[in-house]
Amino acid sequence: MRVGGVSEGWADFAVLRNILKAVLDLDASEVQSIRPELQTDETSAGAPGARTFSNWELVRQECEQWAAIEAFLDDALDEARLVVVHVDTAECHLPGFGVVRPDRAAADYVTACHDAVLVALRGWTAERRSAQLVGAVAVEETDAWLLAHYAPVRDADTGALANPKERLQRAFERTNAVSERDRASILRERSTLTRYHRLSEPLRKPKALRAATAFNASLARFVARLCDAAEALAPGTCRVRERDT
Amino acid sequence: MLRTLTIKNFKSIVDLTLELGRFNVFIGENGCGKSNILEALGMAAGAESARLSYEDLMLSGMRVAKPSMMCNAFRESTSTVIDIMTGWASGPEEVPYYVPCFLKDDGSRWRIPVRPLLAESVDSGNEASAGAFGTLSAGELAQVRARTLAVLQQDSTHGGMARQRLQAEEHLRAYAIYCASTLALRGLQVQSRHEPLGIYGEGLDVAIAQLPDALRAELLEHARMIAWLDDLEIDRGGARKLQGDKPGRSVSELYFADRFLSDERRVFSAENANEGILHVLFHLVLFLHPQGPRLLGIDNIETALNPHLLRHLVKALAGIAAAHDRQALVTTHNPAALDGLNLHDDEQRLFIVSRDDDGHTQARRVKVKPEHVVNGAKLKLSELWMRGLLGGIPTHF
Repeated sequence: MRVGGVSEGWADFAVLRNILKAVLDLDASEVQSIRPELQTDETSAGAPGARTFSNWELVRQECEQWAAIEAFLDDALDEARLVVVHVDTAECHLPGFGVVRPDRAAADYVTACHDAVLVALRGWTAERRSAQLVGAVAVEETDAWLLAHYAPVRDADTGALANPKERLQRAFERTNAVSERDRASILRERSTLTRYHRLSEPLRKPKALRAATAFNASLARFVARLCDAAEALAPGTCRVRERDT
Repeated sequence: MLRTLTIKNFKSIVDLTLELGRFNVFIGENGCGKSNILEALGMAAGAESARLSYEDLMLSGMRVAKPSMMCNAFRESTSTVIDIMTGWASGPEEVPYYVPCFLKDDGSRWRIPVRPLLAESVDSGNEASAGAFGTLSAGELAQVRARTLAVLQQDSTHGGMARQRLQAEEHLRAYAIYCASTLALRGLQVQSRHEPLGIYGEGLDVAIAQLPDALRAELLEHARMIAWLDDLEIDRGGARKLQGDKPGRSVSELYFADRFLSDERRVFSAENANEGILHVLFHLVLFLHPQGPRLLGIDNIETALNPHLLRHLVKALAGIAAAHDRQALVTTHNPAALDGLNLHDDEQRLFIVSRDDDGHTQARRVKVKPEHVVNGAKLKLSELWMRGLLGGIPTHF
């Protein structure tokens, strides 16, 4: 199976790729970023809207324009293929997103916000190829998914916590799960893709990912949808529903 | 024909099985292990003919390293045995029969075990028994093989198998990895004496001169994909050299006639020809020559070729392979090569080679749905690869 990713940035793609390893046992070579694109021709690289750049508006544009996703899901290739479309909910209140943010104080805020953005995302793709498209909606940022692994105290949904990026930074600086040497090297890493790849490496293991889903409903829902879609295309591919061996 | 190739513990390959067609193209980023696949077969060929010295391996197109570096060197790996299993069958539906090959790194040299099938037929008291690692010289190996085949051929139940096996071994022994070099093709450098054509293109003029008329006509027909080419000429008596038509150092007697040039000045030597025609001819002759290898590897087929020329060359070679019973494993970095493949033909196969997260080489065959199932416009295979939609591209920039 090959999976394409449309995401808001390289940090998000790196996290998605490690989750795909845990869920579907895919290697990096089997997962490709459709947006942002790894490289374009140097002549076009500085042009406005270069494909090497991304944000939620460009994710929306990619879904609406459809051509790049359609190309990845090329009819001609006899191979199971999925596309994961990722957005954070952090900016879902902005004009053009198409979502009314639910009341943050509500008890079901995380799931309500997740579901509202998922509906918007399905609107962007106009439900095309819905069996091969999986929405990855992170409430409020993908950092909150990592926080579900690194948080020193895990008793609430990390999607409901304010400032997940800063909290993740603090949690990572204090965790005993990594050596001082690795911690320093990860924090020093200048490539966003590599830094988040290494930060989210623990989620490559089904057991760790399953544990994290217990503290982040939006992550749990994404993993469940991913499993369903993969199983429908290629039965027996989802690893997180089995017992660890 | 070689149908399955299983490689264990060779260079970056830990355990890999390929189901091969007649014309197989391998793509992937630099260092992913494409050439290692071709070389694994070279090791099996070397073992089959007991030609495993550095010199022998180099002459068959291998990149030579000491034995401990030919076994894979991953941290968890401790085995010193390379295991290459080739499965042979005439058609894709036929159940293949297997020719195993084990090579044991014995410090600074390879040891070839006596294979179980051969060991069954050697006298008791022979130095090796089935499953054990014995050391055989080339002469001893040939003797054991001859005796085994004699026994098998007398046996009515095994006679057919012996003949099939003999042919498979013959194809394997003749295997080499070819990689065209412009200097060799121009006759300016001679490194390989492989017959009928050197692995870098040495002796192209002689190989063309040896072609029977019908094959030479076929060669010329295909070579006319080069627009200016009118004819080929071999200067058998050396008259052209004496006339001063080849003032350089080239030892090649090959000349070309350009259809756009005036009659008096239309013929020029291989040393003076453009690279494209030399590389095209090299590959065509390799596939057409009656004494050419039935099974061969070609590394970097795209060298010196315009993308569209490469596309047509690949298409032509796939056709010649089918018509003249050749089988090829080809590597390329040029996407245009993919457009010359017809993946609806099950004998033409495309493999994406990559390293998994542990660095081990893996290969995935690209299959296409039947044409009638596909709706709408689709991208060319070359475009799919360039966009990264097939995989097989470097990602660490």
